[in-house]
Amino acid sequence: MTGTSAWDTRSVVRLFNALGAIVVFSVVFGAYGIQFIFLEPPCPLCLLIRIGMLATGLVHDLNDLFCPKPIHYGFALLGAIFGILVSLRNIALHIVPGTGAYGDAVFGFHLYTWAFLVFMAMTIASSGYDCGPHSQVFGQAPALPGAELGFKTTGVGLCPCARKRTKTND
Amino acid sequence: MMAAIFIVWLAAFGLAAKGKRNLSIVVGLIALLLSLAMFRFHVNDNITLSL
Repeated sequence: MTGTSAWDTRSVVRLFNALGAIVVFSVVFGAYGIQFIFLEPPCPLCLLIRIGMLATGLVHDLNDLFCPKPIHYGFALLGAIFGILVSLRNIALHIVPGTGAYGDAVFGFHLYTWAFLVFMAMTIASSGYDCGPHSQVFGQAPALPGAELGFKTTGVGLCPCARKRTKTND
Repeated sequence: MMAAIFIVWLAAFGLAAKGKRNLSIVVGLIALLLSLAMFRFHVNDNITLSL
């Protein structure tokens, strides 16, 4: 890619990280809205699921404020694994038919089941982070423009500091 | 107790906003450990989470 563009790699990574942060924090603030506006008390495990969301949201925050780094995605993995633990416990508590559930189902799944799916997606997205030639998981960034855009949405295969790291490693 | 954990998380975000990346990650890890301890206690029914 030649020339300067408003949509260079760093801008795209920052944009998608900002979008990710907005999505994650919207979930948390939506939960607080339901709690305080509609006066529906949250279950204890729901509070811990919110913490898992905050942990994964912190990664988007750090990526936006600083350069995306592997340690951020490592922190995302820890937060997502914590969220998976809690949401699986919540699912298992109500998995037997007729034992009731917490809250209403959205598109057929209860919110803790959706949270589990979101944490699994975050785990997969974070585990494929690629920064520099010595920490490749999926290899080089894909050559196809469509595939590259798909990878950009999660930050996989991209690092604005990759050029700098390559120079220092040489 | 949960409110205290949320305050620690708020501190992690505040430190990130102040530009202290490493300290923010350390505080976040501490908050994550505290949260894990709360989950462990909750599974054992030794503690009830509340705000």
